Amino acid sequence: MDAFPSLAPTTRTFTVGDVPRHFQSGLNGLTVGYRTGNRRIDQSLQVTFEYLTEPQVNLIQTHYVNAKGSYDIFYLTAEMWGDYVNPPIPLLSDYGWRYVGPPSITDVSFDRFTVEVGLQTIPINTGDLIIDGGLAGATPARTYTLDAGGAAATPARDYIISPTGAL
Amino acid sequence: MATFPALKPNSRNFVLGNFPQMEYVGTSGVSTRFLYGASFQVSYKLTLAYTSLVESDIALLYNHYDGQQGSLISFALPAVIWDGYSNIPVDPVSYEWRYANPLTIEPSGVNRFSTTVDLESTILY
Repeated sequence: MDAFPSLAPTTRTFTVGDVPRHFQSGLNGLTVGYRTGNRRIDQSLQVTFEYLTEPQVNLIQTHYVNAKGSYDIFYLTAEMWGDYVNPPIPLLSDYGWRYVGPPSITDVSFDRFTVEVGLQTIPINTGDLIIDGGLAGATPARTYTLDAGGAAATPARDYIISPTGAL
Repeated sequence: MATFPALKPNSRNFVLGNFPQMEYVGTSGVSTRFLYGASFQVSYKLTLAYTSLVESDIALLYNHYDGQQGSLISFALPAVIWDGYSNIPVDPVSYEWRYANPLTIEPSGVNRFSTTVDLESTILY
């Protein structure tokens, strides 16, 4: 998961998204809203990079390919947020980013290109629970392991899931 | 397979292809994506605009479109289409192109014509 290339966009539009919710309207016209999740969704970022050189375009193209298009998630760099002191979505947070669609590359002059990129957040869990994570002494160190044996196991477990009943 | 006419476009827009995948969105809004292939990108798109072409050049494009049976038969692009790139961004060994939409030809002055060509990539096996 490589971070997005450190390129400062020429224009940037950030859409703040919404909470996942469902509205139900009664016959009397009253509407009740139900929140169906606790993480904001559809936060999007539309950025334009104007007059890039071909190597800079290749940075974005290579990143897009390495992310398997819109499949994988990644983090942004500080350059993406420009003059924000506190980016609305922290660089390392429980939101990852992915491409909404393929970047669009337009020729603007000889050897210069304008690239438009659409990004969208994906709520992620940044906890340190790793399935099939090996022992707690593995590298990088695991804090939580499944099938961890008893509390007296070596190395010592800090947290045990499914600890074979209360003793 | 007839190669696309060697006419240098006046403007060019290129959209990268995505990897084949499916996305499922839960009620919480959180999505899960399943990747179905990592070897090829599909559906690169290339839009070429030609302005003020003479009739004989328009005929080249029209006859090529006709020869490819519209959007049916794929074809290669000549290097002039990628003029300005030091490395062609779509591997010509692995990909060909086909028409994504019919040509639209408009007059642009006396005996001059403009057209836009929408192309979409196809994978060569």
